Amino acid sequence: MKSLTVLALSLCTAWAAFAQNVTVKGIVTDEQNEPMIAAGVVQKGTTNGTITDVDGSFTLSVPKGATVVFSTIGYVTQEVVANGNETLTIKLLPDTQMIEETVVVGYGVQKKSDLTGAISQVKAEDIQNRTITSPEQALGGKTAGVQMFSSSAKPGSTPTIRVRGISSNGSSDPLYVVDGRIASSISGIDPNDIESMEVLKDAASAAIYGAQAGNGVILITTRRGKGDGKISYSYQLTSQSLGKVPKVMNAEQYAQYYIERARISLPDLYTNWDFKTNTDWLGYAFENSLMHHHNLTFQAGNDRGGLYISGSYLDNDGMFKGKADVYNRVTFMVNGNWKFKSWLEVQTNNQVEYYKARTVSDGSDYGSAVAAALQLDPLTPTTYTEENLPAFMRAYKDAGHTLLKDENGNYYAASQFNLSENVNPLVMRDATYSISKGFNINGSTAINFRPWQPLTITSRIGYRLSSGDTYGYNKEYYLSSFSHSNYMSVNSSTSNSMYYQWENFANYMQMFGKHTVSAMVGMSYSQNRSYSTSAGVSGSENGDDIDFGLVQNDPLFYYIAYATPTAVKSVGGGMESYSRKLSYFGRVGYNFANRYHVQASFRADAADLAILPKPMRWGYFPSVSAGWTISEEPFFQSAKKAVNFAKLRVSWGQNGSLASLGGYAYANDITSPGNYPTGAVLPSGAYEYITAYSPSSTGNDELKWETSEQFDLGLDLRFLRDRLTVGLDWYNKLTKDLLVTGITPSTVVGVSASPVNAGNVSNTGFELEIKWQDQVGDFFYSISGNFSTLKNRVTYLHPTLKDGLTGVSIRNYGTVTRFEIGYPAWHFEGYEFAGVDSTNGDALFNHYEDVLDESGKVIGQKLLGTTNAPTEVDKRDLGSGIPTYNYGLTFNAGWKGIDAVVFLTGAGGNKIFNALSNIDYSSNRLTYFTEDRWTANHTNGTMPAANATNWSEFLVSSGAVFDGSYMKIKQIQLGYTFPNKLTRKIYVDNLRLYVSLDDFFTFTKYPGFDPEIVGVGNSMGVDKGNYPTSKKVVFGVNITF
Amino acid sequence: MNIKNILIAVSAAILTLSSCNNKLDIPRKGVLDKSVYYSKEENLISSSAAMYLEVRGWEYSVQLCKNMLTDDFYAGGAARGDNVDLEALNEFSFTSEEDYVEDMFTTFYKLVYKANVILDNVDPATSETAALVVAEAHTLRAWAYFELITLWGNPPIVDHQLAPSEYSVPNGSTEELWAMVENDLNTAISSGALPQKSSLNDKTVWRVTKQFAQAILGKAYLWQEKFEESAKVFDQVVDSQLYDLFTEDVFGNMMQARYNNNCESMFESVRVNDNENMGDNITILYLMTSWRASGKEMIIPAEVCFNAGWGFVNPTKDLYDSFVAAGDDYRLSETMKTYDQIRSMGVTIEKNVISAGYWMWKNRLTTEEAIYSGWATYRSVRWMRFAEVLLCGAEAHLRGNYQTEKATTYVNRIRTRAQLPALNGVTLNDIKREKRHEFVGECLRFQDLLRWGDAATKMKDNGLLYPLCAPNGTVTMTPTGKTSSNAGFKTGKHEHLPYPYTETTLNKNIKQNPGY
Repeated sequence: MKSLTVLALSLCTAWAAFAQNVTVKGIVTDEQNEPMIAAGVVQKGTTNGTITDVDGSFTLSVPKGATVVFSTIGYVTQEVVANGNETLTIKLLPDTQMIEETVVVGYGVQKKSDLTGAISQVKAEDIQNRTITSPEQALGGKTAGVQMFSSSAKPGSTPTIRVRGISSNGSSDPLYVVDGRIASSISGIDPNDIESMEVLKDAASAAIYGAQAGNGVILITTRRGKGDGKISYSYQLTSQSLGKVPKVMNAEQYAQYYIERARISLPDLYTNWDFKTNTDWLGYAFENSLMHHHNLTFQAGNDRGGLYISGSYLDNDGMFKGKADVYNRVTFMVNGNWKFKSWLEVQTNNQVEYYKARTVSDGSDYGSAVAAALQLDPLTPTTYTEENLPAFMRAYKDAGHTLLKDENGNYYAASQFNLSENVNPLVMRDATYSISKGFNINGSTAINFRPWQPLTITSRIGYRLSSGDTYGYNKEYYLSSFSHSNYMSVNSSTSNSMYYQWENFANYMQMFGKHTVSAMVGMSYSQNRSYSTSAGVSGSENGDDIDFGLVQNDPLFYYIAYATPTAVKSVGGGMESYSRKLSYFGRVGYNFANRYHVQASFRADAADLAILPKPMRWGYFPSVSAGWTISEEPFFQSAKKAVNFAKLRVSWGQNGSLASLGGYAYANDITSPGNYPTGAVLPSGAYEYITAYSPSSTGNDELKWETSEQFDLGLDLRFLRDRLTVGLDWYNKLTKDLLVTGITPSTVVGVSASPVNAGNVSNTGFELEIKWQDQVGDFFYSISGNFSTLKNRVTYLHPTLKDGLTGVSIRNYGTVTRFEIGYPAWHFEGYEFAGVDSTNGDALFNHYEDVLDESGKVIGQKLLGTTNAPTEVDKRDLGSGIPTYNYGLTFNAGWKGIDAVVFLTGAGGNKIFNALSNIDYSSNRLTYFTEDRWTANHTNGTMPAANATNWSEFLVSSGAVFDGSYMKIKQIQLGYTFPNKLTRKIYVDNLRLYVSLDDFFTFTKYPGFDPEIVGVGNSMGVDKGNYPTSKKVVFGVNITF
Repeated sequence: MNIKNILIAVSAAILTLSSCNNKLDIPRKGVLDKSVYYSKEENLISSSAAMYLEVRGWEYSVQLCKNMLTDDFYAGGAARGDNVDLEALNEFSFTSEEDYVEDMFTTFYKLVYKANVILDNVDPATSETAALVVAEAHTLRAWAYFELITLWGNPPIVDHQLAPSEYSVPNGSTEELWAMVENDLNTAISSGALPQKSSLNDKTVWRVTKQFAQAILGKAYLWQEKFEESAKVFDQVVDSQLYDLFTEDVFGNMMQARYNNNCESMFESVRVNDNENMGDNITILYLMTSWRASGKEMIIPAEVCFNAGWGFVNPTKDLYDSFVAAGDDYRLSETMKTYDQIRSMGVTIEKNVISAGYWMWKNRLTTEEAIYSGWATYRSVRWMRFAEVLLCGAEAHLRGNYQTEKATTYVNRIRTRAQLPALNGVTLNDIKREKRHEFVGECLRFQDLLRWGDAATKMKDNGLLYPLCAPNGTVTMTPTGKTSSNAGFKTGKHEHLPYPYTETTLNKNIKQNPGY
């Protein structure tokens, strides 16, 4: 890439003529004697200079005795005194001390010091040797302005990334671009194969991706072959276990509680509890499990190119007991680049991924394996042997029902106390089997022509071939009248998609004296085709159906292929669907003396008909940005010893988002709501039906792109010869014309509403990235930190949506999130818990009344007192799941062979709505809600009585809302690299062993599982029993040959 | 490498890709184009079927909601609290967030929309089919508005498909609303396009007929106290001789599927006994209304009725007593059964059930009708019986002092079938009593009580007590915990249902009815 990066040079071409001139000519090469193109050749202290041509040669006329300076980015500058007409061979050596960092930008590369936008970088060293399994996870805590939200930490799950806040009521996913290829998912990339990740945060940086960049862009650059032949192997063994465990009632507390609640009678208790059983369901459902991660790479490279080949194998068995939650992944990467001619380089990056995943259910208030482990009563044992099977279960068995057994042949126990959809978690595991497998082949291949020194033309094809299938069956079983299935079913589906994009763009850069002009223009076309089919068979042995559905009741026959002719069958899919995009884009830049930088870009995007109506198809996305490198100003020179670099940046731009669009949502087409029988019988003997047709929705011809507009102000500072670097940014981002789907504009319209552009969201924040690094003798250390604030507000909604959009509900107790003007996106809404009524133990809530103006319009609410029966008017803002600040801190230290890393991250200002209680049944609860409850003998309890009449109101009140702030120590790693002298003897260049504690310590006041894994989207911050992050003990080895 | 060649190649590539622009026009699969759909005659019957499908969809919320809002029933279920929405309706403690009320309101407007689509897009002059579907659209829209006006008072007028800029529709004025209903019905009736039965026993007509349109028009006049117009139009229905009271079987079997579309039926939503297309005939209404047996609270022999209902609709003692006081024994025994009667049929009660000791008989779901485990039935939905034409006609004649002898004739036709002696002359009270006894559970009483101004007296105590019937038949009236401050019909409030909270939230131009 050297030949590309040297474009970013500043040079002078002014001509000065003196009498005693001599002509200096020659060739500039790099350390491997290859000609160096576009290296600067300047008479020192003047503007007289040139650059080397394609062969590395130059000619310059200078006064005799003048000093000629040879320079290029990343190389040590050389000076030669011109004593006469001579031919020189200048070999520039790499500047290992101070290689100017480059940053990948959209359709190009820039020197970090030239940037005018806000771009954060995560580099390979931030990613390696961590227990993360997908690239998304690498972003959390390492960059300012990036937040991670997660609804599950089960194996194979990936967090949701938000760049600079939540900018939509729909998806706010950033755009992922891997080696120039727009990627729908990046989880198939092994983190070890990543060279760097750039987060384009401000609108100007992202604007070159236009319509898809409204939520930020994450550029991933995979590795390239370097060095003279290296083979590396790394292995990581991770032991995982439950981290923070919520405290629920034990058997005695549970029995007492539900006796008070009059759900359990004493006779019931005597019949169904042995007064000894005290089951720890969490301990039963979860176990220590192992994760193995192997990685092998081969690489080599020189100045003409390189080859990088790597393979990885990941086997992550989750914490749920048995192989119920497993994620296996094999990746293979081949990256190559070669400069075939001085004007032609070809590069290709290719990744192959195969995955296999099984998961357990979590994050649902209507029953999941994780919620069951929290909510089951401790009075019921886990299993019964044949001999001690209680009478009611024996009765089920005698009635011909199929009872499920564990691997030891014991029957899973059914509870007689908690008759809910949550049952023995291992029954939930065993009654259904589901697995998904698939592969992705991704890549991009680019040809870079350089017909003329300042011009590079790139043509690049990116592709993705995906294929996946799911297979599962549900068994016929009986556990209780609440949990049973009279049917067996087998389901299978397969899907594939083919994506390609073709992009052509040209980069131009030319220097005229102190002026540098750059331009880029290009186009992109992409198409995705997807296709899927699914089929299912069901039947029942003991139930209503005439047959079992499959020819044999034997797992070896549990396939669609063995369906009986009379089985109930279902089929779906079989329809290909396409999406296509067409774009044109361009960028111009100007830089004067490395001091003043301006840049402007423009992109025009066209969407296909599935997304927008034809007249609204095109979206136009401009941006401008400017930078002022103050440290290059003459007046600054005296300060340069302390502050060696200072730059002020400012940018503005617009970007789009299609997050909520697609599926012809705007259309007002005719669909069928069903068939109507006329009562007549046709000659065939069948009943006559008329297929009814009517418009499916109102239609919206004016649907347009969602647009984000952002202003960014930034300051980059480097102090004390780069030992201290500081980056500061302030931004204000307004997302307009949010696409709101599923709205009811009014109940009298009489038909479903098509999506409308009906809202604005603003995100404002301050970001700080700071790093200190130093070396004292053999001791090297660095501290890098980042801190960002976020103020998220919905600023506008269409007047017909004056009360906002309703989000997620907790069972049927009420809606708890809302998208509403004046509040953060999907903020919490509910009653304000105001303590317990000391007379009867009911919860009390603040009671309000509407305040009206003269015209009768509601202008506010007035607090009247408290009530035990709150109504709609008593619902208030109860905070938001979005942190108002995030931070991360990484300490690195090395001394001789020993190295250590401590990495911590945290968030604050967010709330968590705890939805782990289920009052419809006698479900176990967090002791937080029960320990200090009102009882007749403890009338000043702070929690409602067990038999309070308004628990369903309490559970959607501030009583169930917690401070969600947390600090996690994500990594404490200690490594040792064996001395080279020793390892050489066994032909090993480098051998490092390390141990690490990952995600081991969490500091929070939240009494649930994991404050970091509590829902995404409109469930943000609503904890419905989500699979928590494990705490990990890690052993690892890195070997390089 | 020649720069020019490369530039030419790149320019060519970009130009090639420009032609990709039309590749973006990806056609949508599985839909029909609205711009041409309604211009094709063969599509019109399908767009009319969408209206009939919508009407049939009313059944669940309309029937449960309207029956609960009376003095005839208690809300039931497995136990108190099983369905708080139905309890709130029955006890007049509901708010504007009541789901059944919102469902009913929105479902009426869904029909209005489907009618408006036809009225906006189809020119009746283009074909006979076009004239038919336009007349149907007018009739059905008018019917929806009759319900909206009589239940909510002054609902928004939506007489065309609304554009997004029109979504905040204000309340309509009573005059404009009734004018719209009358105009729609008169247009439909005078168009001559509505079908009529060929004879009394013609069972092939399933669409709305001219006589049904006239009957709705008669009701619209009656509610407006335009008695003479009302009486005249009801007379036209009677005089058509195309409808008569059902006498093929006993009164209590009339509702059964085997008598779908009988001579008394003015309009039904069709269901058929079609195992192949169960999804097109599904409903859970009858599981809701059947006797409480799903938890084995009652064991019901299959020949009595379906043995797995949820028991949400239970007759009151006041209703029973009203029959007894009138000596209306035959119709009583065909309408509901007492504890002793069901015991003698072999029914046992195993656990306490919510019941005043009476179980609906006329509306029972027989075992043979309860197909697909009761999740479906082939009983068509009876929306209007000829008996209603007679009693509404009688009321119009009587109150309009028009041809009062006709009032007596009409009432006596009803009484004769009910095996009651003929009256020599009728009073409004006679008509009120006949109407209550004739139409138990047929969704008419709430609107009648409102019109007669009797609702406050009849339903002031709704919600204070509910009955529990023990296995031995002992009925205990149990306090619900509500008092007359938060239960029972309230004058000045419950004369109208509330506009749904959703609507008042979304529509700043709508004014909520008083008291909500």
